[in-house]
Amino acid sequence: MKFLYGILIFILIWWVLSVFINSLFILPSPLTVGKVFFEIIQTKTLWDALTSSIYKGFIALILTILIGFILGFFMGICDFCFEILRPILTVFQSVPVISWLVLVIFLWGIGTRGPIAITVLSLLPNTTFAVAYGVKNTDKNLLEMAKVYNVSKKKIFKDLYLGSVGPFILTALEVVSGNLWKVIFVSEYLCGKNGIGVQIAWARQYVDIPKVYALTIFAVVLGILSERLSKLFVKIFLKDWEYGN
Amino acid sequence: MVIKLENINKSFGKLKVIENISFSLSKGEKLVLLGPSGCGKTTLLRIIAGLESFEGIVIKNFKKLGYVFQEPRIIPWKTIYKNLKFVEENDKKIENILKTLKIYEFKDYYPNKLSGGMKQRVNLSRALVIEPDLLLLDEPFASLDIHIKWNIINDLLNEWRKRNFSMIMVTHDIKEAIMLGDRILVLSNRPSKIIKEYIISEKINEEKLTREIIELWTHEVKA
Repeated sequence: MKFLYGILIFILIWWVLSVFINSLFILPSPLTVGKVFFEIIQTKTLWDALTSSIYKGFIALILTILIGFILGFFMGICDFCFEILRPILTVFQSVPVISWLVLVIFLWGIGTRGPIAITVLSLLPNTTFAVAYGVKNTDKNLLEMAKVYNVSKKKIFKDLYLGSVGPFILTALEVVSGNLWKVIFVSEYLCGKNGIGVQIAWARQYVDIPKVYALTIFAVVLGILSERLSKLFVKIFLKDWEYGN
Repeated sequence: MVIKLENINKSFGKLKVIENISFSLSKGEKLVLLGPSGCGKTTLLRIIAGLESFEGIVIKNFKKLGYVFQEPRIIPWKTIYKNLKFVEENDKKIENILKTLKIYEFKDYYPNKLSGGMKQRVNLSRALVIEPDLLLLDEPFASLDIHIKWNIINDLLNEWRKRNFSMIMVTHDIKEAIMLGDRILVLSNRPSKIIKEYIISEKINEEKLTREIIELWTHEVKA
């Protein structure tokens, strides 16, 4: 209920500001944007764009988690790997999305691969570091206990390392899912062939400001939905850790 | 013979902690290494368990080793049952040992829901479930209330009577050493060396022995 009140207050402030500014090009009223929103959700173009963005987001998420987990695991168990990869990832972390753009446009041109690559490159450092620190934090006493009892490497990996990394990787997933759509839409805007980001780019091109806002609402809803979903996912999978800690 | 140690020496950098320790242990024997706190008793157990490098010779003649750590070392995100499953696949054995050590009803509990005594029972169950030939105990009862301590010791002795495994326990508690050991090796302050050996029989005068050991340590400190 409080969440709904928050939205209502936000819409009210927006409406007051739009009346005060009185310019469709700067801040269209919530009613205008609402009308456009209901118009565009009835078009196939929007749903095609949404499917494309979700597809790219999903692939980028899987690749980020997969590569981040493998790299992070080796960084966690091998200090040499950690020292070698840390500066590279720190550089990656600081590179702005726009700089990756040059690289992917020359490599693949406009299309699907560019936004996926940019998203992975932007989100990979945080995920990798999260996994690496998780592995590094694996309780040495538990590893010693496993050694004494001659526990198999497979079990040590599954029950101790994965167990230790679990909370780190799921927290990283929560952070990644929050940032995922922002990066996807920006990279689509810059080098995508289709997707919500591309729709925003076209709307801006035609100075269709209410459509830009309507598409932004769509992006916000998608962001909130995926964050809620990832939180639910984290809650289910962290059940054991919550009980255990 | 289950294990034999010959001239074991161990240093951490310039700090010598163990000096020329030699002893052997026969099948079914309960040996107690009794020494003052910080003398290197745990290091000696870690050497036997293969967790520490050392100088000297260790001849091992056993297959399975159980280790009751001073702190329980239970996996926090696994239930008690799954903690035992981590070291032993056989469900029947797990159930039996949990029943023997009176923690079966807590098998689905997570460790943070257990008391210190319960956690030590889990620690002991994990060591016994693998049916060890040699059991190492590192001051496992140090932080427990006296009645819980004696209950656990009783359960441990019952299990030992059934299976006849060998045990090496380190402790600084003289009463505990007399209660549990067939033989006591008294260790000196650091660097740890064997200063006296006692064979425990039913006739032993506990008070006299306690006084003697305290005098040994006091004399050692003065010297």
